Amino acid sequence: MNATKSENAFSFADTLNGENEFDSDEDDFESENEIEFENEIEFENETEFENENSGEPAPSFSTGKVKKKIIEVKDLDLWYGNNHALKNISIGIPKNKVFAFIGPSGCGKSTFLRTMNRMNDMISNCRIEGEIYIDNENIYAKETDVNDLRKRVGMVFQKANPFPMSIYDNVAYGPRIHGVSKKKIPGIVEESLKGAALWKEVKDRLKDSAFSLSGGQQQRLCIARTLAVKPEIILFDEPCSALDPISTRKIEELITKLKKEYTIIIVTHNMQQAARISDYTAFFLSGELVETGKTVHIFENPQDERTEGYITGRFG
Amino acid sequence: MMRKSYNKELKEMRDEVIQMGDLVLKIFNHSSDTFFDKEPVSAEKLEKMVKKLETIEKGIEKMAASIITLQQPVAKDTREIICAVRIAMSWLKIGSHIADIYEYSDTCPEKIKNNPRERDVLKTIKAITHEMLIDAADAYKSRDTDKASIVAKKDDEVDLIFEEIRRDIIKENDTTSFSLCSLMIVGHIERIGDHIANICEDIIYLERYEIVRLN
Repeated sequence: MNATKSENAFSFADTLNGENEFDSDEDDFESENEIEFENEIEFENETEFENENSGEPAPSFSTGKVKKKIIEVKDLDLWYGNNHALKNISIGIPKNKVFAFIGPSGCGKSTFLRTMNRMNDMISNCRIEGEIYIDNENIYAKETDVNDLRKRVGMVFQKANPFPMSIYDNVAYGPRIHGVSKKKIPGIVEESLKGAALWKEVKDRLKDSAFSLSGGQQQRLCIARTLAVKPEIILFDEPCSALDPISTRKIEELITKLKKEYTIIIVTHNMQQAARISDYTAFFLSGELVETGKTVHIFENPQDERTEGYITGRFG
Repeated sequence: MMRKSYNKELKEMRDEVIQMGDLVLKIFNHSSDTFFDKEPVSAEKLEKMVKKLETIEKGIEKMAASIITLQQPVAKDTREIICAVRIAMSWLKIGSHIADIYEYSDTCPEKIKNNPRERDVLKTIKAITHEMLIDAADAYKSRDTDKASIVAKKDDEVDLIFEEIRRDIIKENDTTSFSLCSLMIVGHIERIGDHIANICEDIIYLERYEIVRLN
């Protein structure tokens, strides 16, 4: 079934995900921001891609060889008005792995990330065709409950966006709204803060305002807030771009730990970060998925010269 | 702008490796000319050339460390650096073996003159190695992996000659049939052949991302 734009676009789950307002400066709207390559190779259908180096299949939709793919994307196209922002994307996301999306500004990686919990539904001129399955359910089917989807697919944004309330209440907010009993909430708060590697730093000041935390702590609080509603998948949209190296390292370590229980997808402009923390990487360019595979292969021996051009910093 | 300087640094490193190959060829030619009494070269001159080889090799190591630290290379660039360091090390070892052969030029030639078989064997193995050195240096310059494979195969010929000599000596139990001096020289050349084969393996890894064992 092809996707249609949801009428019930903005909801509580958006607030819970921390998307308080739509960021009109989003890179992906810069359709003119395309980069020219020398000797550009025509992109071949990614669904048949297998990594020649390893002999192991890349996690694409059609191979069916990668076990435990939690997300399956098939023939996804997305338009912002007349701007064809995502072009025939097919990919499989393995469970309990970190998957990095890389590419230059405007390539569609953040747009693609947002399709996974239907955040693009909020954009009036956005049109989507194709299918995204999470645990074999098409999330763009009419019967999909978007609130439930966004509970299953949490999101952490570039800028930490704690709610104007205490540290405790920030984390307790989601479970409360979802009707979790009062008795269980302290346990969930503690568990979530521990999961976000923040508990030790805040356990004695839970009633303090969230704004009293440092930038890195605020970002981990947002991660704790996401964990509190027990998602299956967490989307990270450049989570460290506003953080110093120490806070960045903490978030990276945290992501590496979180993958044991969650499937992680991260958009990053930091090549080293993608190389350090992800198991798989996908390279996007001008709305196309150019290449995907195990991170080690993408960074050691990319098959497409556009990928090599990007990761080595050489554009034509 | 940053990538321009990065590209320049990588090119400089490649050029240094090429320079090492050219220098090794010169050392080889001087050493064999001296040995076969064509145009003797002084020990000081040869030593100076080997020292220069060492200096360039150290420079390549430093450049590699600097590029890795400051530019964080990936993909083929990483292999470019790894192979530059490895190939430079191989060139240095080859230079060192040639310098060792040179040291025999004072004592060996007279004996070899009296033994046509030794002379023929040494000339043959020298010619093969000389060709291998030229072709290996050329394969690195032109990034020619086919040529690299062919060059590495020639190491089998060198190994065969070395094995034949060794077998004869063991079989005959006769060290006079082939002088110890010549055996030592062939031994050094055999090692040179191995290092050339290593260079060829590195060229293939660099260009094709394949770890092959040609030796």
